[in-house]
Amino acid sequence: MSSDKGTLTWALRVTVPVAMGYLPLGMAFGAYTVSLGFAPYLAPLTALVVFAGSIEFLLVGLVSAGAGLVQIAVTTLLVNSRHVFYGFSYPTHLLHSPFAKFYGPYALTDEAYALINSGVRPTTQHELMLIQGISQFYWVFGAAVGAVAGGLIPESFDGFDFALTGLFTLLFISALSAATQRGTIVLAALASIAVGLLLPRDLFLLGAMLCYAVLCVVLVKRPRRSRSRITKGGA
Amino acid sequence: MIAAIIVCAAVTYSLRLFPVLLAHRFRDREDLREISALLPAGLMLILVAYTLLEADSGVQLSRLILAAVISVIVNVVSKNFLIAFIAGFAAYSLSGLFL
Repeated sequence: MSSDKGTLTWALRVTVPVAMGYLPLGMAFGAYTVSLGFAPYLAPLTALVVFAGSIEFLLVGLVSAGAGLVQIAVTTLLVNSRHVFYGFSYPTHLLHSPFAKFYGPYALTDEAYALINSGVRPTTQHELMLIQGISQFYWVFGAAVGAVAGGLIPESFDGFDFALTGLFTLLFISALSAATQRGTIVLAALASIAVGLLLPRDLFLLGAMLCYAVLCVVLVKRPRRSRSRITKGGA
Repeated sequence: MIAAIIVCAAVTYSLRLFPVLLAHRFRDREDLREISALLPAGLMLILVAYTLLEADSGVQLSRLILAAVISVIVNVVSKNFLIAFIAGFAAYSLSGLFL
């Protein structure tokens, strides 16, 4: 369709939707990190090394609340478990150089996944690396700007406390509208929240998420128990 | 904090890398697909509850809920994630002046 496919101009144009999300959210992340009392350089560093959006907000929150490394590992595992399913429809065959083989999965975020599997459809390693690299630049740059600007915001302003609630509420709405079993999802999540509330406060997130993950497995496995017995021989 | 960043990055990278390496083996697992369809929305709702539990006071809690409701309404009307986020952010900041 476009003759300039593979150029920087092309990549900047097709990643505009990503920039619209990453720049402001990255800035919110930078400002939020600084507001929790972390040094400004930690925001772009986290953005660069982790590069996974919502878990980064959670990560700085958990660290400032004194969470242990095990809790951080398990929370990351659960929150980012959705990424497991992106790999299946990622154009692995385009990756040839060792760097691309490392960086391709590394920068496989929700947005990269959406971009690659919707309009853009890169056909070379160069195109794929370009759009993933530029997307990461937006995120890290946004975090750096937010971290610097965040230091200039008076301490009495607590607006960034809403960043997490707002982010997860909107992600919940968009995930729910994409799902089919909405009632089941909401009921299972509310039940898991109730279970989490019975636990000590420190274990709420972990307990509720594990409970929900188990409920999902049970929901998917139960109705097909009879069928899986028949197909077991084939596996 | 550096250790936490490394742990978080390592877990995230593993989650992204292994499916890419094993894609051919799991691509057709129907049950994994169904679980993946159920997980995100519920986990996000649990995260919303978690952020509400972190509120310092009843006033802050009501401001968070008010702003979240406003951002959902704006999102339904505008169908735009960013506008909805900014609307909620503005509602939260402004409500701080009155509550």
